[in-house]
Amino acid sequence: MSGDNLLQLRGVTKSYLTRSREEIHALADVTLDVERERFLAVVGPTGCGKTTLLRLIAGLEVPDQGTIEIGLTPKKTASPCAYLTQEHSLFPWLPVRKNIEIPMIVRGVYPQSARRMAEEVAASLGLGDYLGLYPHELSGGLQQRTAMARLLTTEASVWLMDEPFSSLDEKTRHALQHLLLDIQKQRRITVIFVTHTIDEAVYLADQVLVLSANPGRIVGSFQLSSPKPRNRMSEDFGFRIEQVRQIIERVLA
Amino acid sequence: MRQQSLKPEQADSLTLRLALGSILPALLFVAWWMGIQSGSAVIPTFGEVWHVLTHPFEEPEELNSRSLAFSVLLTLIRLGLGYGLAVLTAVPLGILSGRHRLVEYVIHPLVELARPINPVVLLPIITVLLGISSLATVFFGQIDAWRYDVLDQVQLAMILILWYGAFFPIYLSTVHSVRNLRISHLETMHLLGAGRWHLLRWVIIPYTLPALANGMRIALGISWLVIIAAEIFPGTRSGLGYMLCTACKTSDYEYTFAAIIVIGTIGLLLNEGFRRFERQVSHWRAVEK
Repeated sequence: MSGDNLLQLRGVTKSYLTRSREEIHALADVTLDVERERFLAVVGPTGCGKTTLLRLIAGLEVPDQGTIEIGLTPKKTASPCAYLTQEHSLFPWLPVRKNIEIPMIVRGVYPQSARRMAEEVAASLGLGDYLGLYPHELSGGLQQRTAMARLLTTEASVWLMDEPFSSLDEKTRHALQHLLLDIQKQRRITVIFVTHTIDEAVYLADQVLVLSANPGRIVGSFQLSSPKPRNRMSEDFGFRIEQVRQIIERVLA
Repeated sequence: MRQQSLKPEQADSLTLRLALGSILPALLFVAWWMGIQSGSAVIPTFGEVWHVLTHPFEEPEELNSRSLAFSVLLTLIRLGLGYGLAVLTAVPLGILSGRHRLVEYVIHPLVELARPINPVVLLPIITVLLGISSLATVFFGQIDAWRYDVLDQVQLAMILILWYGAFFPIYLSTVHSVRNLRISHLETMHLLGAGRWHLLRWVIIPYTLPALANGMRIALGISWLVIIAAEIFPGTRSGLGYMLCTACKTSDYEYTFAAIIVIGTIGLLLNEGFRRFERQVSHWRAVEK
């Protein structure tokens, strides 16, 4: 592992067979370096290996070829990665409080400290009034807020986020994007964020990767250096979005 | 054309439900009353049955049976032991089968083979095998067993067939439920580094509980049917089923009627109690409308 790289992917390849015995090349020879504390967004058409990429990094799946290295010593048995999806991340049988406490319970944190910590995190995310409610009693936005609170109580330093805000309305989505940027700054975590919305990628990321579908390859990479939070109305913002859109269109054509 | 609502009808007031619900039981009473009027020797009067029900601790002299209360107690003890044993074995095995295909491959064929056999038909052969062995003979030996009245009435054969009757619904509902658990929930726990105990305590058991409670309620209903039937077989000297059957032999039909009413009432109470429990553990499931 060299330099400041937290994550190194070398020639990672992964294929699936569909039900009709058709081979899908979700990822083909993907090589990627992610620096510490970076915010990487991954965009691309549906069916490209965005989700597969996250699952491989999380260790939930094993690549057919290639290597994935994470430059962190894992703490005990817990993964250095936390994984958040669009839905079904929370345990519906537990109230918000316990959902937030779960990572600490598993780590063996003393129950009273876990309780206090959960309350602090919930308060800081505006969930203080909802601790006793169950996930199905919450709106989609509050559910994802709770899921983020749970990520905060893990010790993971890499957050793998798979279209976490896709099913939310625009206002809620913008609020959570802002929250995520704050968290990233404070906690100094590395984020790999999959989205199908270019606007979201350009708003959040330090680097945007464009992935093609079947075979899934990296077909574009942009560095975005303007300071955050970014102004969606600015000329630069519009220019960047157009740039990414053109690449995607070229890939799809 | 008449507008039809697609929504299920709204729940009406309790009074209306009670009023409508008591129509058929009332008809039953009318039929009973007509039976009394016909002068049949088999049908006891309301007063006779009422007397038995309101004097549960009276040992009936004319009847070779213990009091109604003692009969109920014994039947419930047998039920509790057999059913309890079924819960304690079916839940762990169900979780194991639900989590590990290989375990299920071993257990499944026997389960499917044994499940259609009515447990009561096994009672004669099990009684031959186990004889009159009871909890008392197990703990205190054949010779001293008679000293332990209640324990001696709890025959192993009965516990065994109760276990048999209750095991399958509990086991099967557990297996199905555990298998339906979302992979993403398991992955979440995996990434957190959770061990077996945490997985069981925070994911598998709470997730399975609604289905398990349902299976347990069905199993309890079966157990209740089975135990009463089993008590009618030779080799028993007590219990509600025994009382009901003995009273028939000596033509003391008021005891038979009383026993039937008690059986129905206890069955209803057990079911309702469990329904409540089921609702309580299922509240986290979002109601789809």
